[in-house]
Amino acid sequence: MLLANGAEELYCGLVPEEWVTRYTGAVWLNRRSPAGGNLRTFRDLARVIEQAHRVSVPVFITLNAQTYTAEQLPVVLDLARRYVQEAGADALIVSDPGLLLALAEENLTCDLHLSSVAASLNSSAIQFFRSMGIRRVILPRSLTLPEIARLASAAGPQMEMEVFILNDGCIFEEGNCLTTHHHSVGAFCTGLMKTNSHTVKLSGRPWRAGEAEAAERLLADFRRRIGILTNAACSDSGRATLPPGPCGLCAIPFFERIGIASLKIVGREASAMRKLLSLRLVRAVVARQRAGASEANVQDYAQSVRLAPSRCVPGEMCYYELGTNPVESSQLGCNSRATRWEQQKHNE
Amino acid sequence: MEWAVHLRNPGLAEHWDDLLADPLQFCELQLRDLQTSAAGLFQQAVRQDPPRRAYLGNEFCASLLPSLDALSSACLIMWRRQVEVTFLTPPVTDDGLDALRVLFTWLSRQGRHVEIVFNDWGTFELLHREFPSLHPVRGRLLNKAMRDPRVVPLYNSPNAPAGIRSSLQPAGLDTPFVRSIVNRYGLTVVEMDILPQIPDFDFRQLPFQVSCYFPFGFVTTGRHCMVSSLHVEGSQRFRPGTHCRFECREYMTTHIFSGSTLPTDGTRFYQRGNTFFYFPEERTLHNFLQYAEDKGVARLVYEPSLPM
Repeated sequence: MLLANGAEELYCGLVPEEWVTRYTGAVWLNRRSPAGGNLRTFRDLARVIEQAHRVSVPVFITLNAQTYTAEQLPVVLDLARRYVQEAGADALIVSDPGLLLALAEENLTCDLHLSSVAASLNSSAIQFFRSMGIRRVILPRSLTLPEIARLASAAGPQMEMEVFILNDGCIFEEGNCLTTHHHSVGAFCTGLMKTNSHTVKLSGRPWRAGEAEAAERLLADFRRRIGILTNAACSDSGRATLPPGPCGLCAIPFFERIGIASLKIVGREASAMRKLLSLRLVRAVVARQRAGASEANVQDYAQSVRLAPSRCVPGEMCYYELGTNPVESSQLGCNSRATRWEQQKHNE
Repeated sequence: MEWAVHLRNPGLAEHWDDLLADPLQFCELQLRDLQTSAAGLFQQAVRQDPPRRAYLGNEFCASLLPSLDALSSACLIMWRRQVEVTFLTPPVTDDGLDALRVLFTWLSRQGRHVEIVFNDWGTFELLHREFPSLHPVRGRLLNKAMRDPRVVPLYNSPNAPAGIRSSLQPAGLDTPFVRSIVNRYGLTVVEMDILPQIPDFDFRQLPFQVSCYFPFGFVTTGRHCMVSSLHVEGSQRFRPGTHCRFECREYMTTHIFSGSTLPTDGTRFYQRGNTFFYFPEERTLHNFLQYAEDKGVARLVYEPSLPM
């Protein structure tokens, strides 16, 4: 289905039964739950890869837990060998530098991609990981467009860059979040939407008029933003629609200009329908870009197909900020932001 | 076991003696009940042997990088007192690396043994490449041991499946990678938080020294800071790189997680700036101190307040 609808790369995970038996659902082999977000057998994986390769689409496998213990590492290395040698995976997506070092000694016939979980925020970090054999870096979503451009320029064409384009929702730096997503307590971030919370002034000075209310509004807004990022509220009706997640679609022309290699659609745990609609959405905007439309046109189109102008126009669903002046761009509509970007291009 | 003290603001260097004499003066009023026990344990421990190391800087937020003037003034005050300096650095973008390069250049020219705590592999690479005279220390953000107090006490209990317990026990320290970088780059100190799971191995067996923060631990952080958005509105809120007004110095939000059926229901977290902290129970602090002494933790870093 994804191949038939134009996916140019696939990524997935596989958690074998032995892992679940030993570690249960509490310790994840990769950044998604064994239940629902992963394949379960090598036969399934081989079938996926065979179908993808038939149409020349590469398949990447996630082994991107933040860290693996000494006990886990041999198990993970064995899985890595099987992913590549038995199933034919084209790349492994890795976060733990320990696993990277171990993989470097394996000489597997696949590429190594650095997961966003490694939180590589600067060009020096990319240099560090390049020395471990990394061919592609998946950039954390917390980076701004100017920061991404600087990274891409410093890394040069030999290092592929991948950016998030749809559905990722963590408000924290995933690589520096040491909490669990386990269903027994729920994800920390979404849990914050319903904690009993209160804000205090550390100086002990009395609240000024309106200050306490402003702090309350801030907390409410923070919770609302978490809701948007975690896909709960990206529709005008306030209910989840398909595909509901936040996005960076308007930045596609920018990404093409600076040579970004790949756009990441998140949602391994999503339904097949959501995956399909997410892919179609991104494909449609990419097609417009590849057809030679202007940046403004691509951005207008991207916003029109999101079908959520009340959230799209003020930029609530945006990963990336396009304007040169953040305060001004918040006050402008989508067309104006596109125009502003065009102006920036002329200035360059 | 060495004790160090974190000065969350370089300006506190002038108050070093006051801080050692009465650390509760420097804690958040609202956390005084929690801090009283920790301050007492600290003071008792250092009575005979006052701390000889100050931690300066911040490991969570690039907006809190000190200016060169502020850092150099604080360092000079400390060195005049024969107190060694460890400088904390946060995860940074390329702009942050530029700022760090300025600070590292000054620090590297002082002819001192200066430790730099890195929490980002890019900062480590920069140190390794350009500042070999500075001494890198792997920071606690790069210790990836799960430390969510909502579940870890359960995962680490004797009744938990062996696989879960075994995943927690190395505490982010005894991992193949840590051993590799220690060998490859000659790191001598690796840092950690007081974890809800106290590891059951002897730290002296590790090929490096372990330094541990006391009494707070962090659970999550990132570039989307809630309180820095207090002065902006709408969709501009919670954007990475918001120019803040150091609101983290004035506001703290407490969050209580409730509604689960687990014994940990009601766990509290303290949000300052972009980071969420937990505070171990008093009993855990006592046990950890005893354990740290017995098992060879080389250094405890006392934080009189949340380190923002």
